[in-house]
Amino acid sequence: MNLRVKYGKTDQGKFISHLDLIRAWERAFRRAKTPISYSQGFNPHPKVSFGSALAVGLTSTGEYMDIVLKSNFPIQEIKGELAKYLPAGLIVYDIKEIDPKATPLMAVINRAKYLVRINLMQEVNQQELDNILLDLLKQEKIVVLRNTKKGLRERDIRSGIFELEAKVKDRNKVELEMVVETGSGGNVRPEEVVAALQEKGLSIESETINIHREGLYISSDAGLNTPLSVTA
Amino acid sequence: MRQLIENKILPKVEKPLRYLGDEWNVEKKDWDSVRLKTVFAFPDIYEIGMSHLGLRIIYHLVNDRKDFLMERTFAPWTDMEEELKKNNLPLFSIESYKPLNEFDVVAFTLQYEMSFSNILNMLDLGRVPVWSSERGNSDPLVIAGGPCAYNPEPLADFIDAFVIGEGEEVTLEVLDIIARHKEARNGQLERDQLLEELIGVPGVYVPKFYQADYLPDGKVKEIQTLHKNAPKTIAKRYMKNLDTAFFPTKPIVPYLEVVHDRAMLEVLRGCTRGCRFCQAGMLYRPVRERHPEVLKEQAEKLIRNTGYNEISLTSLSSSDYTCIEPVIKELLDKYNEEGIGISLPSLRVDSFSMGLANQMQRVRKSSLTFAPEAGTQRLRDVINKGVTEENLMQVSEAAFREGWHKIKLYFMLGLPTETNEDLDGIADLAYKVLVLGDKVRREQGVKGLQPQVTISVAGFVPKAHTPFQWVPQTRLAELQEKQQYLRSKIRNKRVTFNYHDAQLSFIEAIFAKGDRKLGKALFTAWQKGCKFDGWSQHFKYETWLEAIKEVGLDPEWYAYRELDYNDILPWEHINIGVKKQYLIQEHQKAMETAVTGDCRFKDCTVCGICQDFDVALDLKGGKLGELKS
Ligand code: SF4
Repeated sequence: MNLRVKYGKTDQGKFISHLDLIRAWERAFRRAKTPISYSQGFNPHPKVSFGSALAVGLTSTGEYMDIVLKSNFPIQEIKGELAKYLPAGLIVYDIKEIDPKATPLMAVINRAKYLVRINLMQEVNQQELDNILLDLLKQEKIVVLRNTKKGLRERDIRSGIFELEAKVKDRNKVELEMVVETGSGGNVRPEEVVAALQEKGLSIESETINIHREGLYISSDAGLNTPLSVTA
Repeated sequence: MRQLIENKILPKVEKPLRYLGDEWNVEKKDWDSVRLKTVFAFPDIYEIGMSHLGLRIIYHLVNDRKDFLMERTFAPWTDMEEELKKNNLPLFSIESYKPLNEFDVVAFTLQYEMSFSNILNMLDLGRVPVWSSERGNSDPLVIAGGPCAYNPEPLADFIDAFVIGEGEEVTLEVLDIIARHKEARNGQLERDQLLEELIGVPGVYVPKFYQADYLPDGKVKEIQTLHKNAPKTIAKRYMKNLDTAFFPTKPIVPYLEVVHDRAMLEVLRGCTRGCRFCQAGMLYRPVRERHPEVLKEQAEKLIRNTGYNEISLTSLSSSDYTCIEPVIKELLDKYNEEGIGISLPSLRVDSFSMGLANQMQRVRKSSLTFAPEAGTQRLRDVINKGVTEENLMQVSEAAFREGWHKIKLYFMLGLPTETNEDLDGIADLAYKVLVLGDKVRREQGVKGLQPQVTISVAGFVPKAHTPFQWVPQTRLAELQEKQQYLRSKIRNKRVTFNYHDAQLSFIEAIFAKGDRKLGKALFTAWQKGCKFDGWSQHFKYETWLEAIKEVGLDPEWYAYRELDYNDILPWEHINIGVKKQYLIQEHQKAMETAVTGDCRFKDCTVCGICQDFDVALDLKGGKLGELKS
């Protein structure tokens, strides 16, 4: 039986790196007696595959992983037990059965939605803010520098930004919402969009940026689907 | 404070999880409703501290008492220290983010001499006066235990009370006294009076009530007690029975990968092989084993409560456990299905069945470690390391046959009576192992990776309470020459040579056999910026020398002084149970190249502990000799 799990990382969990996270789940499964399948061989690994890794320092309410069970098992029970044995910082939201032949999460997820809370050094009104955004999105290219294995490389992220909105919450407090490309096709990091806005003249306090991943999605002609909506 | 640190500081430091006590099985208690608030202070980083079984035992022991609270703090890495200072924040406990100075008790563990500077640094960062004499009634009581507490003198000026020996019982006795003391005084701590009360607890050493006087040459003239109730000698505390001793079966499971990231099952305590350089072997006598049934029960609870995929059978020498084979077999049978492995932290050359190793170490089949410690049989007899070349060759051959290809050999340099011949012996052993590996590989049809040998060499540091406590350390220049010599003997790409910093061993030797005068040197070194001395990138050799000289002491005198059997040792008032006369006898036998047997296999060698203390050898599988006959 194959399951897709939607989970989240709270404030307490935001510093858990992806490798630490994999271990934490493995241990939680064992404590919760989740009847997970193990790979064969000398060093058996639980059969778990993750969607896109979340950067350290970010919270999220929409992460996904697929797990393979040894046998059929009531999903509600698994969810209930897991919830009891999860360490602080991790939450399970939902579990659904998927077709064992379903395309792996890694291959289907291609969009990520982020909420970014920023503080500006000075107050701003909605009109000014909208203008800056418009100004940025008008550009044909938004070139950022990225550290790659081959050293610093220029990358254009404009085509990977699908939605970008900003709201003034309170005087100098602004909330950005963005849908960007993620996955094997390419990745746009929310920090890069923030940096691009900074270059456009938005005076952002870089020490207090708070980034939250709202969710991971699969885009299709009909719009964005969550990885759970395509389950069996 | 937590908010501020989490939002502003943690994003900037390396491995923020070091400072977030939100792990599975962490103990969080209501700060205001407990009788006593204590913090376990580990003078190194989180990843090392959380690998330490002692921390886990004491942490859960204290927290199992509903009325006591124990939190944790670790030495902040340098980036974190900088941020704390920049933001004018104190060092805090990682559970409730309270500054150290808000606790009733700060409890350090002393694992290694080169962590002493971190202790001063942590006290200071935690806003606790560094000198014991400068602490007032509103400051916490600073206590310390662990192996280095058996020679407490270099830290005597900074620690209010030491706990000598195994902590399972005495820790709670001490905390009970402190709690009652506070309650009788409306929550106030009357420092001087409390320390007087603590003298009454067996195993507790309050340095303030002792004074060492020195001879003109710097040696100890006498150690006086300054209080009528202070015992002349402080006898170590020990557990008579490991089966009934507290053991944590719901330990914290770190998020961060720590050095020993697995469930730890303590199979026995003590080791009587009698290696003459080994302090642990003298301190933790006699051998007391845990019953297989108790172990199995603890293993089951550990696995269910932690979710770890590996159980490590820990102790000074787990393959000596008389029931090791049945226990490993049963654990493997029971947990293999679930993907849970069993491991031993270290392997002994002479008491290990390779078949078992093969079943067990399924994960790490790359490198196997052995510690012959010396290169010739003569020198191995001097140090009483009961390993022969034949043992090593047998086990290496078996290892190569089972598919290992890297063998790591540990040696010490600068051992008493060592000559170049012994160093040649090290190189020879390495080559013999390599040749053997090549032979096995040819026989198996030249498949797989080429055999490799690593020689890892550390400078010998004479330690207090060992038969070599009277012996000077080999001079630094000579140690370095020996190292060069050995290096020149090794000319094969498949033999790797690692050497431990000899300068570090020199400073370590000063403190390992140090006296109370060194407190000022330690303070000065810390003020000059020494910390994390065990980390090569932070070790400041010149600064240490400067500091020791600045307070009028001679570093060479400490490391190289030859002590006489009649001399009063700085740790003379600490009684580990093994008699001084026995250590003398062992030293003499070393000089005669005579070996001493292990009391588990042969007769009792009358070291003193079972004669003078209410404890006995406790082997669950019977004496090994008896079993076989
Ligand atoms: S007194 Fe005898 S039996 Fe006890 S630890 Fe010493 S040598 Fe072994």
